Amino acid sequence: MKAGRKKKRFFLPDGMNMTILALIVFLSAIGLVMLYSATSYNDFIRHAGNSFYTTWKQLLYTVLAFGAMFAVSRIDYHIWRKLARYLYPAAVILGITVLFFGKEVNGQKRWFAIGPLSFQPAEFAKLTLIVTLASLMDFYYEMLKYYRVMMICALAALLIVLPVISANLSSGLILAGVAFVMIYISSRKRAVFVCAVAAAAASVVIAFQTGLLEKVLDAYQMDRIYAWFDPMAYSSTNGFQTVQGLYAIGSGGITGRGLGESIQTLGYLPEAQNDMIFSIICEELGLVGASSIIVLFLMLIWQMEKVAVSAPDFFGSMLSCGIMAHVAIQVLMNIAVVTNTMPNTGVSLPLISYGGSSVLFFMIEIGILMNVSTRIKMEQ
Amino acid sequence: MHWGRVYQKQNIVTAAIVVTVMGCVLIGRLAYLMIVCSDEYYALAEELHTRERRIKAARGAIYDCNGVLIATNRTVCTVSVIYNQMTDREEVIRVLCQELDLSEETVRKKVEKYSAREIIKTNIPKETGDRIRAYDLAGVKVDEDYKRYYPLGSLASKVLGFTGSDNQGIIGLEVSYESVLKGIDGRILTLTDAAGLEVDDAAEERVEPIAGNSLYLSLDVTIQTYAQQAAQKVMEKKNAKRVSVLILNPQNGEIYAMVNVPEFDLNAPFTLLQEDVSMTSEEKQDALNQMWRNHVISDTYEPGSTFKTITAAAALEEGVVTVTDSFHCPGYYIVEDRRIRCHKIAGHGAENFVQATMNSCNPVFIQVGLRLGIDRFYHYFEQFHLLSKTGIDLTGEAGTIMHRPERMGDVELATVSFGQSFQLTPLRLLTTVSSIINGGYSITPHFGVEVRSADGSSVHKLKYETGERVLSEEVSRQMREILELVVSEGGGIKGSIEGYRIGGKTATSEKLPRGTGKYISSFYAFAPADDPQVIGLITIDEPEGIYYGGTIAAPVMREIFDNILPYLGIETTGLEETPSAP
Repeated sequence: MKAGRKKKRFFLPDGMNMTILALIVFLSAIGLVMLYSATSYNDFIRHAGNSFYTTWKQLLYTVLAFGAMFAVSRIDYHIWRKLARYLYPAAVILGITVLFFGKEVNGQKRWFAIGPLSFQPAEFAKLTLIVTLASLMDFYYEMLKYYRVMMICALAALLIVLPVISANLSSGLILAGVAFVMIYISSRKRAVFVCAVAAAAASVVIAFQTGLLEKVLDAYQMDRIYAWFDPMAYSSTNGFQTVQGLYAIGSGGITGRGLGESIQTLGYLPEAQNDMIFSIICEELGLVGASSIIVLFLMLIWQMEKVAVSAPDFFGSMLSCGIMAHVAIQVLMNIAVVTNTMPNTGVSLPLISYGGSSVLFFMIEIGILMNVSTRIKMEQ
Repeated sequence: MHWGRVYQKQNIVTAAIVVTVMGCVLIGRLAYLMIVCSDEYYALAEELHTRERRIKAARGAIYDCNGVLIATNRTVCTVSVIYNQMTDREEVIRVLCQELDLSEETVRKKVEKYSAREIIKTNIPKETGDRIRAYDLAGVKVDEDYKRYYPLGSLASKVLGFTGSDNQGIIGLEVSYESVLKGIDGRILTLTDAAGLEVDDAAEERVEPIAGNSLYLSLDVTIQTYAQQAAQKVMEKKNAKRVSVLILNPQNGEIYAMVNVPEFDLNAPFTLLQEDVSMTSEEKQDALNQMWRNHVISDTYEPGSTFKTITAAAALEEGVVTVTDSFHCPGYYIVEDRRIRCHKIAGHGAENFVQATMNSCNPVFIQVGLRLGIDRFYHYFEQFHLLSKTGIDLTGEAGTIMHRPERMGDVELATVSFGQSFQLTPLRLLTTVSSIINGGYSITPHFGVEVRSADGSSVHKLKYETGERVLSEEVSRQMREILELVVSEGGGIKGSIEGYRIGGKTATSEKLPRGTGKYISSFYAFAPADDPQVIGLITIDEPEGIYYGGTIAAPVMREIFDNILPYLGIETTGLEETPSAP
């Protein structure tokens, strides 16, 4: 009896938020099914009839990531306060070195290749940023009302964000967004943030209108903005992926073609297993299925919000906030890109898109959040 | 440990609410894309995903009046290679070089080109296609296709016409019966992946083609062949520019033959008769159009003396002249200030109207025309449908070029009376002459008789306007008698055949501008003269040497009639029949 209880506690510690776990498992399962649907045809052709090639790989990553999550959820989250000291400089250095020594994929140095494994420092940077900012804010808890502290936090974030943003705009934007949300939550000066958002939006518009944006952004990034305005006009070049995604979404209709019935996965939609997987969900499961996925993610956000609000201490709360912000921004950005609500930029859909390091770091974050949720019950 | 200020927890809730709102906006956006834009994107996606392959419908065949096949389809093959499906490229190159008689370089270039489908050669014979198919090479496709084929080559080329690359009619009957012959293409819709490969287990939507209808003509290959040979012979003998022959049934308008030599090869319609490499493409197109031109229906000419038939019929019908009226021809006739000469300068002297017609005497016909007057004469033009098109089932028929009545003076009237100063097509002339000698009713000349579905299950007879009375039966009879005399004793005597009652009229028209020595010699004849079953008109354009219609055109028609009258089953008159035994 005692041993059994102990075993149960090892995998599912008392007080762990079971709703979050259920949502994560469910979304991962949907992700794997959709991934199979999106990749089986091309895998069958490219990998000698093995239509499970990509799916098996992702299943392996997912199992590893779940293991990591359970392990992390067992570790007292306060350890991250100490680790932040080492993780932060590591993230900054990795972010800079990848710019020079990274493996070039599609003209962008974003990856470190170690043997058969490849690793994106940007994913590591996301985790580090959350941990670092939460530690800093906890450290300056009594002085959070001062602009000074906000500046320190912003500067600390900037050191991580800058190298990443120069290699990978979308990851940089996610990092900046996470930092922004965390600083906003910790601060009382709401008006400043509202102004900041307005000013940022205005400056982008002005920069675009005056042509300044063209000088700041790379040519390919500008082309993506033009393709955003009128994807059909660029349907053979920069708008290609967007247009193919829209075909998939539009042809889904209300109830979709049915699971496994996507036609856009037959090589029409590039990267269907990756950033554009949501459009395959739309095509196969229709508006009903796609909306359900969004609702599931929103439920996950609200569960995270519950953990953040009732966390045992401020550090735990800020960790949860950062993780919540990360998930929320990435989900919203991905779906916005797929539906051409914003310009095309490579953001994967958490738990569903194909990708090893992304799912691993994401699950570590969930593990941290789980540990925070465990502590709530223990305190009470 | 108690932590947190109220505003921080409020901020967390705010952040979650903002995220929720944004999530809902995205659901709204999705709803817009997937409900409002759904049809549009679905259609675009469908267009992208499916490959439509057309299955050509077989074009309908064309038969002559005896069921002789004159236009049909031949199966030809197109050989193409699909890069992704080829396993042994060297073998493919070797086989294709050998079978298609192409250089290795050409084939190699196409075989090694990375493309979805590369066509190696089109229009190869079916036997070659079958041989290549027998090798069973992966990635080599042999598709069958139809190509129009004319078994009789150049026979009636300008009448039949030919088809273009899309199997659509370009000239002739192929154009005017396009909707009958065309058929409805079928199609196969297959789902393909982005590389253009067909998805194996996807359902195929197949719509079967419907073959075009068969067209049965009044054209008689035998008569057409006789006429074409005769025309060819006289063209060569007289070194003429061209010779046209038109033979039809004056009772119902069915055309038996329409010859325009030189004809061209329907199986190679884009090959000029005299190939000239220095031609620009524009010049070549002009030359082709000229070669394809059906002069019998598309070109007008001054009919000359053959038109006296119409003047005579109008005058007799109107009663301004009777067959016994006497005239005197001094060799000329003065109209206003003009002295119009007869072809016989010395004059025909005293003659009655019948003799005048046999002599083809211009002064007499001028007088008859003047007796009719402009208004009455014009009235008969209209009554004989001379001013409108015949309505033949061919495209490109030219209209008659005639003076307007208010612009017509006596001089014009005088010249029109013997067939000058206006133009019409040979077809128009012969159609009107037919209605004058057939008992006096109008006909519509035509080729198409019957349309049958490809399997013969349904037959549709084509109908034409006919039977409107344009001349009294009595005058028609008189005209037949006069015209029979023209052949038996008059200017058309070289057109007579012993044992047959033949009517006809000759003409020699000087081409415009006058004085260049260029003539069109013509002659029309019909038989039997008392009940015409067949009428033919020959026009010889720019003959060299002797150019009189009675001398050079009449013998040709005689030769044709000599062959076709027995063929048509027209019996010789017992009276003049040569005894079979001495």
